[in-house]
Amino acid sequence: MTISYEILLHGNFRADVRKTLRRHAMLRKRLIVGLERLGQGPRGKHAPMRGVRDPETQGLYRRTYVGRHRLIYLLDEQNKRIVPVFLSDKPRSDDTYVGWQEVARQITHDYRSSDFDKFSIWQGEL
Amino acid sequence: MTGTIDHQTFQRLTLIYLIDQLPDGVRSSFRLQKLLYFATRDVDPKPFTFHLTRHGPYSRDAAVQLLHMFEDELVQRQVSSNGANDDARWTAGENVVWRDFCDAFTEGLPANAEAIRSSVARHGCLKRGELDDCLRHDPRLQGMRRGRVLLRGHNGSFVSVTLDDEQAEDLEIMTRPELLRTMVELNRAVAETRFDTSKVRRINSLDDYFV
Repeated sequence: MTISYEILLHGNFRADVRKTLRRHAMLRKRLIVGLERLGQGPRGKHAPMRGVRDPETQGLYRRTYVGRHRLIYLLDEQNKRIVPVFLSDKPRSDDTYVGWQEVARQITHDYRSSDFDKFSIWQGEL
Repeated sequence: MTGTIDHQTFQRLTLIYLIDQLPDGVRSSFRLQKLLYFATRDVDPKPFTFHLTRHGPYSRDAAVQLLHMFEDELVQRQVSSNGANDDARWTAGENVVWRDFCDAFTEGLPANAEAIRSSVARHGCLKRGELDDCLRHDPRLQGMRRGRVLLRGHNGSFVSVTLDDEQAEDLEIMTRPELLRTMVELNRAVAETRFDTSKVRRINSLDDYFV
């Protein structure tokens, strides 16, 4: 049985991703296929990130690859949602971590202040 | 299995590993600088650039990194009762997965870890005067004028490690407490906030969304 997840996309994630994918139609297609697959439930190969070890949070952040791009997402098991936070093919550096942190902060802020119109939801065919 | 870690993580892990090798932490920032100099002078890549000052080898990079780690609560500084800055004791921060850092450093940079271990075994328990004697006999310092570069730190942005890329990324994340706190806060916001889906735009095709 397949468990269906909704993909909750924040506007800032979209802006970030669009910058990356503007010139890469093929890559955009792969990202979409990657996200669609995520919507059918995270696979075993998407191992929980060991770096994020807070007891409440442990196991909820996962990493997968779309081509060379790393996609980090948060698993909201209770509501069966997936929140993509970070996508990049750049080598890891302070800049990429700053970008990642900025998107995560913005999502947190909009959640807390109930600015839900900043989000879009996609749910594939069951 | 070869991955890379960024330079900041390399510097932070080196300092963490050095402090961890001394059971009571390191007393005095000058002493820490001297021990760091001995521990890194013979290995490559070198984490820090050292200059010769009137207090001996000194790395501004190390002092700045240590300060940032203190702000991030990765290390603690206990200042003595007389308030003397050079008497501060550097120890592991609370709530830090210290053991994981040290294990990862040993696995990812075995030569650097071994150099620190052996150097601390040789110099870690020396008294201040004895440590200064060792410096006086150090061939690199012979005839060297103040202000000159003693050791030049690794020049690139990344350092090769014997860890896979995912382990390396996890390690970088662990040395960035601010990013970790942000991720934990996001998880809390998601768990504690009732999401009102009626306000949200529903999209039929991801293809249209990303165009």
